Amino acid sequence: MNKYLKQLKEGVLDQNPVLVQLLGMCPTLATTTSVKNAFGMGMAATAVLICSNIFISLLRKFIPKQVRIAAYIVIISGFVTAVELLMKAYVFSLYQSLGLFIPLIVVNCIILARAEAFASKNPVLPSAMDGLSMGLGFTFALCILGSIREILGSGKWMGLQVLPDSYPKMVIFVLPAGAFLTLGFVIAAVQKIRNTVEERARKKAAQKPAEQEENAA
Amino acid sequence: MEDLKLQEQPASQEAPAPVAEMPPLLTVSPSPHARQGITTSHLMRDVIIALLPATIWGIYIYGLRAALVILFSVLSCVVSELLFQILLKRTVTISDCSAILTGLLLGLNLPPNVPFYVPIVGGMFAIIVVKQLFGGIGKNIMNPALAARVFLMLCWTNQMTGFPKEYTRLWWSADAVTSATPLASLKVGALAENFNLLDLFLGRTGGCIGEISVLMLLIGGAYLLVRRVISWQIPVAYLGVVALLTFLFPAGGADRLPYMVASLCSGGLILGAFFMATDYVTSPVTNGGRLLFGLGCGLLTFFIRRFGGYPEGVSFSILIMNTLVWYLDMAFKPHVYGIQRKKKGEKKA
Amino acid sequence: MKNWKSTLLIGLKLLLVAAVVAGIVSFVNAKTASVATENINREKNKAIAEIFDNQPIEATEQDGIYTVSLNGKIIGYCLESTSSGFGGDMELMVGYDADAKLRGVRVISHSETPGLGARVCDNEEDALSRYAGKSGVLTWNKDIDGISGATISSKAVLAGVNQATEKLLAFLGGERA
Repeated sequence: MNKYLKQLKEGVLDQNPVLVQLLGMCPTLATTTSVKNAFGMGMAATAVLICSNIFISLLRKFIPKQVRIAAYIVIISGFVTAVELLMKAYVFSLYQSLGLFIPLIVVNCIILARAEAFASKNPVLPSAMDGLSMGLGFTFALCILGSIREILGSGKWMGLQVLPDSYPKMVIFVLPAGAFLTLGFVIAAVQKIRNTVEERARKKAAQKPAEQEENAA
Repeated sequence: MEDLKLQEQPASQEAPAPVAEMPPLLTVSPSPHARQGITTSHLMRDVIIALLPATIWGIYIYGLRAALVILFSVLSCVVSELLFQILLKRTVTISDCSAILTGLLLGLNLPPNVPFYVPIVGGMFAIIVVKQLFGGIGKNIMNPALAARVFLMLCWTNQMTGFPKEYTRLWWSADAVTSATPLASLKVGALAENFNLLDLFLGRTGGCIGEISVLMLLIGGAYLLVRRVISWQIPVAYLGVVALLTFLFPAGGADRLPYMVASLCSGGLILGAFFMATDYVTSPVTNGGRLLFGLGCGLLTFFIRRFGGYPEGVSFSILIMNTLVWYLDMAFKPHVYGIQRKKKGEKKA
Repeated sequence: MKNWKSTLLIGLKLLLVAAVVAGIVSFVNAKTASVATENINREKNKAIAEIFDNQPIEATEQDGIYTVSLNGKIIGYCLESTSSGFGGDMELMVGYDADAKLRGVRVISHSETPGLGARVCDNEEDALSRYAGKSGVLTWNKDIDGISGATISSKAVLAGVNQATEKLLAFLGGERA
């Protein structure tokens, strides 16, 4: 059980695909104009990630090495198409807002990267877990960006007005320029947090042998 | 051997020499070296003086509120720089007047009826994001005042494009009847009906606080040229290209000469050509580079004004050319004496 | 000799994978196709209903022209129109009264910039309502002008409306002749 929790933590925090691994930036920048879109995109990509990871892991002994990338792309695009058709039928307004970016999930680096780095080398259950954790990490990053952009750019969060009506909307944040700015600052903040955590861990590790000597003496 | 006395160092030790992006030069001649004594703040102060005519005219036309917008802009820039440098434990450099200049330039680029949060946020963006985060003075890639103006334009487009009619002297409030600017009319080809050229030149039409009076700006530009603060290449190339293109290709079949003069006198073109494109940090060092820089700015301004979605092209053109400055300088790297350029064939051998 | 056999085997394996995936996709498609088309129609019907003030109308479609009738009498027409906006194609639903006078314009889908071009699509500053009551092919700046910061989107709406008007006039002209 612990091993799966660790995978989850890694996907969402330590090895967050967008904020740490810097993958899948294109949909991150494009679909985070509102939290609803960001969440929708994250969930769609997660669904594809889990399905493709499971499928690729099941077939990992079957798919020949020489054509593995072609096979992965076929599988991924198949699942993306399936997800797109489902969205068109059951969540039509989200399908309209996300528009072009749903089929673009096929070329989302995260999915191909996980297929190649994990699913093709691991059994089904861990692969599924990896898909889930990376997908959740992706969604988490998207939602952070989406929240900042939606609140600053339109005063709303999830469509609800959170800032007073008189708030002068900083429209740049719903434009691509603002997406880049926000992403830059968020990644900078994440780096700062990681560096601080690392510093503290190192200091703690340096103190430990000193303490042990004291206890022994 | 008395004549070999070492030159006394001037009292102020920080930021020696003009704010140059050039690498430190190795002086090969023997001492004594006569220092010019020009510091960054001297240059900044000269530019501020050059901007005074346009500033005073803008305040005269638009009243107290224009002065307040500029004041808030300057304060925002200076305080942002101060706080940033204190909080991040860096040397405080507000005494080099560059923040004041950025604030003044930004303020002059705003319409007088903007809400006060506009210059405040703009100042913070210009100093913190565009200048300090890139390494402080001398290391920024883009002109901070101009980049902030574009940022504000994208943030609050409506507030940034509603210009009051000329001679509306605003006090504290910003209520005013807005009217189309000369540029907007130019784009549609309706200039002749709405504006007359003399008004454009003298500054009796609407626009941003600093850009309305071409005459005042030219006076400032002349001051800078005489004081050798800027060199002629950039403004001449920039204005020359725009003049040529607008003369050859007037929009909507308008008469060539009036169209050309109107194009030159409207928008922030003169302000941009003399004060913003010539910013030391973000423009080329070499004369050839400067000519190309002005040429590029002119081309881009013409195309954006004619074919782009926005009526104003100066800000975007200068910012785009800012990003190309490194290449422009590389193209005109001075030839080092004694080293022969390799001929093409020799590379293979 | 072994080379071509192993290559063939690789190819066959890839084919098998692709076939399975294709099977999954067609399965999903079969299950969802009808629901999807219903969704699109629902959007269009919503637009038509709004243009005609939500009266209990009936709309019959022929060649892309919706003939709208109330209690058996024709009260107007609706046409779909596509034009090129700033960010991509814009789909409009244009509604007319029985005498080809404009009644309303709705944007069904667009890719305009939020806060700028999209303001036209959300009918801010009456960008769309201003079409009501006009007739014939409209000229930019004379009959219709745009809203600030959204010139291209406004022009795209105008182009789409004119397209629909021409189509309707041709249709009506044909009918009357």
